Amino acid sequence: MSTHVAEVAEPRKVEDGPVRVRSPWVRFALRRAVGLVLVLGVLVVATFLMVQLVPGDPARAVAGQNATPEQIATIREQLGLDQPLGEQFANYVAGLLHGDMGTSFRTGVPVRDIIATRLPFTAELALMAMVLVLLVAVPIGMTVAILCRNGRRRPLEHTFTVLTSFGGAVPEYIVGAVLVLLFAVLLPVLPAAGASSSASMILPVLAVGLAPACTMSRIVRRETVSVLEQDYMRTAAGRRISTARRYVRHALPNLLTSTLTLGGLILTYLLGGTVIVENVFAWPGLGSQVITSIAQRDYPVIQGIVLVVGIMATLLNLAIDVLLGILDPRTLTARTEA
Amino acid sequence: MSRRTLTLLAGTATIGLLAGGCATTDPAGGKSAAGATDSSVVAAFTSDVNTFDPAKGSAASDYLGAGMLYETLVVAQGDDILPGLATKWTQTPTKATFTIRDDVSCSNGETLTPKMIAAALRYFADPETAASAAPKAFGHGKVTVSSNDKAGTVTITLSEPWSEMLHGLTGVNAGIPCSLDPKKLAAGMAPGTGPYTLTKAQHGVGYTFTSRKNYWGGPKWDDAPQGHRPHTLKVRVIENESTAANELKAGNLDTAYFTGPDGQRFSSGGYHSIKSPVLDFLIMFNQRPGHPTAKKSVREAVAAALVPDKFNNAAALGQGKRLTSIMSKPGDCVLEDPSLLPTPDAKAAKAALSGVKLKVEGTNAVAGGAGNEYVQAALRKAGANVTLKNTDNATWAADTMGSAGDWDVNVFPHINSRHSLIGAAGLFLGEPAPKGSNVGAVHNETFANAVDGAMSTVDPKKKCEYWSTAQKALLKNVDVVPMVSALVTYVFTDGVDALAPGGGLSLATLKVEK
Repeated sequence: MSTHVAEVAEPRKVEDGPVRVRSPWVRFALRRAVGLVLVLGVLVVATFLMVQLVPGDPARAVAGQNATPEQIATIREQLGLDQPLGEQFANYVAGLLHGDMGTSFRTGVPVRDIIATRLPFTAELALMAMVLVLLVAVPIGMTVAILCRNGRRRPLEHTFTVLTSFGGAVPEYIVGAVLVLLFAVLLPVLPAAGASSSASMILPVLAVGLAPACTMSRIVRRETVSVLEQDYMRTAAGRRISTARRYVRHALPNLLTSTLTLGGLILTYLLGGTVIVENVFAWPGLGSQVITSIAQRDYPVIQGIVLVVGIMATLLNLAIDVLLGILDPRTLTARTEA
Repeated sequence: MSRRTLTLLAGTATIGLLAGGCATTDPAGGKSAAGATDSSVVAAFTSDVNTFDPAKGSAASDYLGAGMLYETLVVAQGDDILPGLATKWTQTPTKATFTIRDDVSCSNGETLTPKMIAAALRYFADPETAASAAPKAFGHGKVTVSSNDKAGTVTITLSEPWSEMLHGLTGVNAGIPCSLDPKKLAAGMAPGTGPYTLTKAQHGVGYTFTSRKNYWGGPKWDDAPQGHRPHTLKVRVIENESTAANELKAGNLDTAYFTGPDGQRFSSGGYHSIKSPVLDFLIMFNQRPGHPTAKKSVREAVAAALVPDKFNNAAALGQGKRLTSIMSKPGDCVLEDPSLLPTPDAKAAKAALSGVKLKVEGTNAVAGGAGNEYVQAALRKAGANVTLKNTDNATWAADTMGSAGDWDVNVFPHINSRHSLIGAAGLFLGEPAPKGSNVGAVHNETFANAVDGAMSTVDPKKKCEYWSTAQKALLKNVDVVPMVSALVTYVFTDGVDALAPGGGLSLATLKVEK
């Protein structure tokens, strides 16, 4: 990035005592590793306790409405729910340490297998939606900012503001329902639901991606306006650097900090499962599974999914921080010092 | 640096695309074949299959799945019992002997023997299996199952009389697997006696069932659909009924079922449907000491405040059928005399309920709990001081059946999948919840004695007389107010048909017309 100067301190030896490594990258990695362990610990404890607080009896949910009290007691014993809470927690943690997240109370299927089945669908939807968001929001936001800079083309700016405000405000289930009505029922050109082909993905990705794309395009426009007012952009213009080169090589990289930060938050949200869109499009992802499991009080599945999503969110935030550190080392220094 | 950025972004996109290629492997997906070819039919389940173990199933999708893999000794069609794996039987209140067909083979090629059937029935009756349907089939006494391979018979002996045994054995829960490995049973991989085998399964996504070549042919149903079984029956799990309806409209499904308004989208043009009762709404009262509903006068006033038609509009979208007793038809001995039901009387309700504090509880699993809200509004209109707990199903079940109940009036959606009076009667008999299944701690001797009488005779006329006395006793004492029976609509595209012989759909009966 031409306009940023990396100000990374060299590792420095301390004369007396052990060698202290001052590389911000090493300090950053150590801090995040400790943070990751803490987050994992909190997640394990919190998810275990959280499900216990939810009213309702998993054994009764498994047994069905017509089960007798004796049958419910038998199922409770079979599921290990008659053990003291401390023992249940110890068994849960011991299982986790061996890579075993338990088995579903309802289906008897290992939680690991359920997540392995569902996660690819959620990841696929989230990543494709994210690609759509970036491919739509960045060019549109930049283009509108460039075309409308210095108060030019007011109607275009107003139209952009109205459309993106509307698009960002419409709930995804309404977008989904309208898309299904248009493209699956009235013009049956795309599947209404399921995950049987690549075409099945188009409507869910559009439904999930529209609002974030609108929000991000507004932020990109605002950031672009701000970048275009910077001295280095005027200097670049004065040096008669070509327009395309100015925007792509000088303006775009300076937008990436905010774009990536927001993008990371959007992707974290999407990886948690887009519950409503998964339901509308019968998309077999983690979101719909966790809702079903909560309704059925299927504790091991809820715990497993929350844990995995929590780990993914933490790792994703870490990846974004690393990426931002590479793009703009000042952010790394600031975070480390903070 | 910007090149690295672009590389990273491109990498993200590539990972996304690769993930896309990996994940889109819905085993039951694909275009429906019905109407175009006879080889494949696609059905939708609006909830996932929890288990294929017939004994342990407790939800509609469990019954639908296991019903394709395992046949029963006898089957119910309307109020009649027809032969299944058994060709004939004799029955007393404590004993039944079944003569088993000798031409039935299991899906693994083995010949089905009485010994295998006896083992399957012992597993069903075993308290360790915790099959919720077992007490409805065998009562609460000791069950002994014996077999005689030479004579081709299986005999079930009960320590206490239970005349509902035959009816209890018609349900999918009493399906006969040929092997009893619990893991294989749960996964649908245990060899079975039904017309299909499960060949692909992905929980929450879909299942593929393949028609068996060595199937014995199945029960001889009246009005059996014309045509033949499809080679494959693919099931897609689509939890949202509107989504299933869209897929059915788009031609990507051949059959689906609806409990909500989407079923009404298929009243014409290339579709036909069967409507069947799916659950019975009963207003129950907590009669434990200290509850206002322990008094008959309060119960009568609550009954007078409720208008069944309005409840129907709220809870069953106006599509429900008025209940005349504790369960809906089909089913033996159900009272059908509406004159026995309470008459709505706003004045009388107001006179008795003004200022009375009432706690109403219901599950929001049905129509979002709109029926519960109607009950609250009607009782408030009658002057009662009403608080409503409109909660999720698991919490409602725990509050209602797992505790003494911090409620006075309960809007109880009873799922009576076997359509037997004893299934509904159990809610008013024996130990109060949580020790027993007597939800409201009802104590009605006339009712209890009449039920005992009904369980002690297999004479159809006498049995119905006892049941008539029992039902009248409950209604007379206002221990329950029957409201409406909500219907499920099974929709099929033309050229595909199936039966709902005992009230619930049987995909084993599904046929495709050329």
